[in-house]
Amino acid sequence: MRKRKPKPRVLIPDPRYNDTLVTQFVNNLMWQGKKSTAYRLFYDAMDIIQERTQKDPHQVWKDALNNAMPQVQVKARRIGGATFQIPQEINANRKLSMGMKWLIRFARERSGKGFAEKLAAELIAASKGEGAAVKRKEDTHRMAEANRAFAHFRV
Amino acid sequence: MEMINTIGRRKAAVARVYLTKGTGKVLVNGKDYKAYFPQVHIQASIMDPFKTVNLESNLYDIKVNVDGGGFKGQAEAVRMAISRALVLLNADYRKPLKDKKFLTRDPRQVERKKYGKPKARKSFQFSKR
Repeated sequence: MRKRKPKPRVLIPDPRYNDTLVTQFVNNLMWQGKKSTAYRLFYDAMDIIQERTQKDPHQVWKDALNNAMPQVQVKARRIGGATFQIPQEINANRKLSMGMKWLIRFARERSGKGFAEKLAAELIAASKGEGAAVKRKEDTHRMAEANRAFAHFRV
Repeated sequence: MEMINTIGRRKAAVARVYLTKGTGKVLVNGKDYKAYFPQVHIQASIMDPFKTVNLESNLYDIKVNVDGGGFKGQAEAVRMAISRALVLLNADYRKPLKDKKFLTRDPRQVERKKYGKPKARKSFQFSKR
């Protein structure tokens, strides 16, 4: 158990859209502390989205994130020798970070050339409610729905 | 108006700032600050002190000599030096700049490497025999 709540981190808004959530997303896709590279990849993906959909890429990204965020998840808990999958709501911060990490992970697992390309494709798909990240969210929701009977146990 | 000279430090970087009346030129080691710091997400931190106090940056010329450290440390050293210069210009700027911690020397330094260890804290792999 933690002694006290962690201090919320203050992020600097990103240079293009002035959005701290974008910074969080870029930090999540960064490897080995290479922030410049991470920013370049993200903005390249944004440019590709602009070209393909003719829509505001920032808005497309926001829609994608909204569609990829899970609302509930299941957690395993042992009660009387049997393990139950107990559904529980997720708090707002964790929702965001889960959505981001899924988008990035499934973009990496896509086939294609170059990460910017793959990220753009995954974001466009997710903004339409398709793609592996959104599928993952729906699976999570389905698991929670199926185990609804155990919801009263509380983790 | 005479020249205002201040110093800012961060990690291993030292920045000396010379602020005069002028037209908004910011020269870092003889180059424009946008050329010296090509990383877009770093550039903003140089102008942050001006934005914080809502001061037009095109009334002043800034010449910076910055030495040591990496680009992040240098940028934040410059930011600290500029903030200090602005406080000398007008003491009312102290509060907003202090709230953003632009006037506080960040005391975090690289921890020294210890003998018997490959890094400061990391241990060699343990082998029972």
